[in-house]
Amino acid sequence: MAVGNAPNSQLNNVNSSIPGLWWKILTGIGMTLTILAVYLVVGPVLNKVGQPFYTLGGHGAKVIFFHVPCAWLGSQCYIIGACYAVSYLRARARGERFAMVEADLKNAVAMELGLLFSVLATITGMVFAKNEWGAYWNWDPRQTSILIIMFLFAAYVALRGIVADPDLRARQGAVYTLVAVVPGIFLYFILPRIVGDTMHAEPNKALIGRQISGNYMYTMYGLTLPSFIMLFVWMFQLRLRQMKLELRKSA
Amino acid sequence: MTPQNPVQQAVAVFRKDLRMELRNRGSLNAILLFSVISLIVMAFGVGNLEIIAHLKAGLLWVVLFFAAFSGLSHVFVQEEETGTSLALKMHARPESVYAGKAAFNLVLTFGIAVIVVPIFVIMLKLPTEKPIALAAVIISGLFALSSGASAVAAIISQSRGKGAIFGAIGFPILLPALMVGVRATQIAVTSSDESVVRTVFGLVAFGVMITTVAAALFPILWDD
Repeated sequence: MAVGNAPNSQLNNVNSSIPGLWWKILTGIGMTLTILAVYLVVGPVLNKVGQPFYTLGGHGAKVIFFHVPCAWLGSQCYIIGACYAVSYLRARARGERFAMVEADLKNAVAMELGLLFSVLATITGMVFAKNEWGAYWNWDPRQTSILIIMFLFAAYVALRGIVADPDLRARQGAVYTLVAVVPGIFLYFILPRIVGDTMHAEPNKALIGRQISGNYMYTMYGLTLPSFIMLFVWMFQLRLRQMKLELRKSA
Repeated sequence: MTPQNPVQQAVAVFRKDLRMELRNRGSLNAILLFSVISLIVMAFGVGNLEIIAHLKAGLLWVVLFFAAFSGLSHVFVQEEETGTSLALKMHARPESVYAGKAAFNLVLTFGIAVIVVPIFVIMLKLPTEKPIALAAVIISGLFALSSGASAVAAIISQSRGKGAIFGAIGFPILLPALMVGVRATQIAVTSSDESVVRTVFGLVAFGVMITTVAAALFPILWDD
């Protein structure tokens, strides 16, 4: 079925996005504060007993401020994409055309942003790895996982790019997203048990077990992560709106 | 006469594909030739170099991956290319079509491996001191490889530019299984005393999971 058949009035509904002006302003303030905090306000990253966390007197670890939100958002994008793939299939089973188009576009946006954030997580992670572990690439299980996740997102984007028929594209996209959940589960649960230890164990323990100093923790969870989430929501809505406008143009 | 039982339908689809491929052996020959050639290219690159067994384990899966990806989309794609998918849609449940074609791919993968693996063992001097472990790893790995490739073939069978996209999408889907397969093969060809049982179960679980998900979702792709 062609998307062009969807009622135009519903596709016209492109301005009803959650983030209004206030959202953009808050995101801007949050991201500005994040950058200022990381480089100017928060000192070197210290652990609880006041020793530097990793090299360069604790300054080397600062890239984690950007790495952790990107890696977290990158993997969340997969869950979000899979949820929208399921909602696409449900809308399809009920024959709701507009809900189908909406869910398919949201699935696609989640996968595109997932590609972006996983690339950023990989690059920031490589900077950290060069400083702390001696090489940009160490074949750490987590590095391997993010590489595969990046390819999983990229394959979705490639698949979507070659299919012209919107209905086929949506069906293929949803099925691909859900089939690719299997390697995702495999990466998360089975691979670490088989391939061995990750060098991420220590920084992860430090972050989750709150072994690093207070102002660092507060900046990470109170400012950086929320700002990145707000940025993500804004980007999601912006891209969704753009895709809807493209559809309306071709309809 | 169309069988009504889904299992019988799957068997009928499998037999139809097998008969078609055996009757017109052109594509089968091309797939086998490509598999052997990808192996020879690899062996040529290695030459008489003494490479460690760990590397050989990796090379084996590279060859098997390329061999599988030369031909495993064929059985799904040809229904679209010959325009016979409509007739199949009228006579069989989508799940049965998927099961039959995935089973055919499994047989094809094992057929390729029966030819490729012995040549690989001979030409690259793959150690076979632990034949049972090695066989178990290769068989379970091929099951995972074939299951994933069938799922990807089903997804891409209706798009343009199938050849390139098949490899591009198949790679990330199969990479986790391939890495586990390589790791287990390394254990099987070296004197490591680790057990491969867990990895064999892991690979079988991967194949079962991906086949279940793909078979459940195949009706979405199949019904226009």
